[in-house]
Amino acid sequence: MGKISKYLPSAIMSTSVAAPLAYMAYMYQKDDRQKQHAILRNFPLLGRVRYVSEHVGPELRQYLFAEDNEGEPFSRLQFQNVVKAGKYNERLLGFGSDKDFEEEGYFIRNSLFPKLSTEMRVDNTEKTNTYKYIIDNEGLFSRKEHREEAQVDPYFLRDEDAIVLGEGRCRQPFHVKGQVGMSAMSYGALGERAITALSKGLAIAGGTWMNTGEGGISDHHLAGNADLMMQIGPGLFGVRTPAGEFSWEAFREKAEMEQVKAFEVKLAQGAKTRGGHLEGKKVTEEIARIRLIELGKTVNSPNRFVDYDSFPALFDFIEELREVGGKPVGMKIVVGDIESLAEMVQIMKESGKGPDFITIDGGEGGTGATYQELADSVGLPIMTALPIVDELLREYEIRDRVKLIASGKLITPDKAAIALAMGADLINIARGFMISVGCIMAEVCHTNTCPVGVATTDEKLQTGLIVDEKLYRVTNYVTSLRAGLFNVAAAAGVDSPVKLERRHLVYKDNQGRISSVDNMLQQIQG
Amino acid sequence: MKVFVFGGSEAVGEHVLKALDAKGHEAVTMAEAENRAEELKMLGAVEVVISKDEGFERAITGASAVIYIAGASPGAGENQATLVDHDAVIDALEEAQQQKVERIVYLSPVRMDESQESKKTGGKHKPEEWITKSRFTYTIVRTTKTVSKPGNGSIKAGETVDADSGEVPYEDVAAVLVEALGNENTFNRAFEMTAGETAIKDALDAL
Repeated sequence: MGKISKYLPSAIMSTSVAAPLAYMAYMYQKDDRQKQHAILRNFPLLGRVRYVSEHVGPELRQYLFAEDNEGEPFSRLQFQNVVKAGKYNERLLGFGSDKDFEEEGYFIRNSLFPKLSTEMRVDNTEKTNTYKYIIDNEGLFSRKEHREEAQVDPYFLRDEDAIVLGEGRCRQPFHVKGQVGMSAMSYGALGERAITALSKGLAIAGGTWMNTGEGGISDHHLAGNADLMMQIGPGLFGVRTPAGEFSWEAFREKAEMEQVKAFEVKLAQGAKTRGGHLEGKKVTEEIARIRLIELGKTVNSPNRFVDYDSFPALFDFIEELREVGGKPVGMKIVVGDIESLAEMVQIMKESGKGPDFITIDGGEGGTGATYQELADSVGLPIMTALPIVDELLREYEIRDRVKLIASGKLITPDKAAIALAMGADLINIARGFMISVGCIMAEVCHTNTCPVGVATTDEKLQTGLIVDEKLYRVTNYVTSLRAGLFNVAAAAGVDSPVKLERRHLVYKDNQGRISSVDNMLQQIQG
Repeated sequence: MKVFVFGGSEAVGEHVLKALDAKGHEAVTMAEAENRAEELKMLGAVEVVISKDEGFERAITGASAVIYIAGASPGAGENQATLVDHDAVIDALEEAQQQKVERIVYLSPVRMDESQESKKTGGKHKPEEWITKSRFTYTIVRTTKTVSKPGNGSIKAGETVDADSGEVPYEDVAAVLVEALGNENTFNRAFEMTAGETAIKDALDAL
């Protein structure tokens, strides 16, 4: 015993020095002999610093080095705006904007006589009961805050201003009393907890909608009783026969559901103009039931509806969907081929057929797992794509019957308002909603390892996401977005955001020169 | 009964209009702009006078009761200059009296623990004194801080309530005002209210 205690300290000492040294020697010779990396052969051990830094770089840059306006897809400030709106239902800032005003971009033309709050055409008659956080005290290392009940204004549009999809064209048109809703996010891409929180939060906020994504209607989408827009993708999930054909019986069943208010046929999305691949091991019993596919079997879906390769064929399909379902049918596109779009609008005009709404996903749209070359350079960005479609529809005088839904990084009220002025009737948001339920932009949506349990079906990772907590963040995010839209409208001198037009916008280039934004199509057609 | 609501466009007022409508009363109030007036009608007002176009004199004709909500925060600091134009309150009520309105429910706007010093500069007591000496069948309701939280349907009420920090949802204050309107137990008396456990009707019956 005495001997041990006598030698123990020096034994520990020598081991703690020798072991790391031995380990380093081992790594040194391993690096030196390997043939994979030149840098490690030339600089054994030391070269590893490069790999470690590369690995933790994104986090370090985000936390320490990125300026408030830097960072993609969303800057630190944009991210914070979404989080604050959800958590505190508060969007006021002090001492001015941190935006770089030298940069080019769209600006709202404010009126010299903005509208007073009492002059706005808003419907705040039904208050929204929610929860928000109040900061009691904020220190360097701690923030004391507590959550309390709150009754907030919902900022609905008046009934007369409500946006109606499929008006006069189907048996059950969809009236929406707010202009922002959730873009397509499937169960499977997002976990059940995230989808449930979104469904419940959106339902409390009201006047909004939830697009199911092409993965079909899950119980989690139905959890809160929010209005649903069911997406139908080329994989036909949820509306297919076991053999992979379109099933009218399954479709009718979905159309009869009270919560389903509209259907959206997805031709393309900003993030992926590619086919889908669903690994057999991810096809659980639940997924198989929702998507109507075979348990445990890999499904490859094409990048286009195989049967519909022309507008007449597609429009006949849409007509039948509307006739059978009795609900509005829209389609989701990415704008690239403008000549083809012009042809489409012409056919819509001449045949009287076509979608009740068009969802335009900007090329900057995201969340879906895709390839870099498709994400970065295929499809036009929303602020270019949207006015083109708007103008084409006006040119052929069918703008009244076709509503436009815009998406693509429109996560703050100013961006959404600019899109409304550019011609959109409604705004779709995906990543803003992900942030509201806890997304920290770790950018690992495609790996099922989302650290905050949002974009993952992993049971363990999802335990971090508390539905009862996050659902109110969703409610607050929606209501404050709508409040923000009314703010912008008031500043522009109109009494409702539905009245925002292109004349309320101006484009400023990086040398301070301004131009109006009313001739997008002319520029292209020369 | 036709009830004229002063302050119907304020936070508590919105809930008062709704509650009056729910009980089958005809609420009349004022608004600053046409769009706001429409919204108040959606809440349940049968008539809304646009304040920049005309005064309230015409609209108050034929009203049996007045609910007066003066829009100052009870949480506002002491010793501040007058927060409510008390003379305007009295002017309005004098007009109501001339129009043969018989009943008034008055929501007192200033914190109930107002100091002597504050009374000198504030003047919360002025309309209250006027009301108690008037021919109205009056009820004066003094509340602790009002907040935008969902209503509970329950309060605590009494001659005095010792609850400095108690917060009462707008909805509950509105419900108290409308309940008091026809509750004879509240006739010709002033009481204080704060958040509590007693159902509103029971709380007023037990005063």
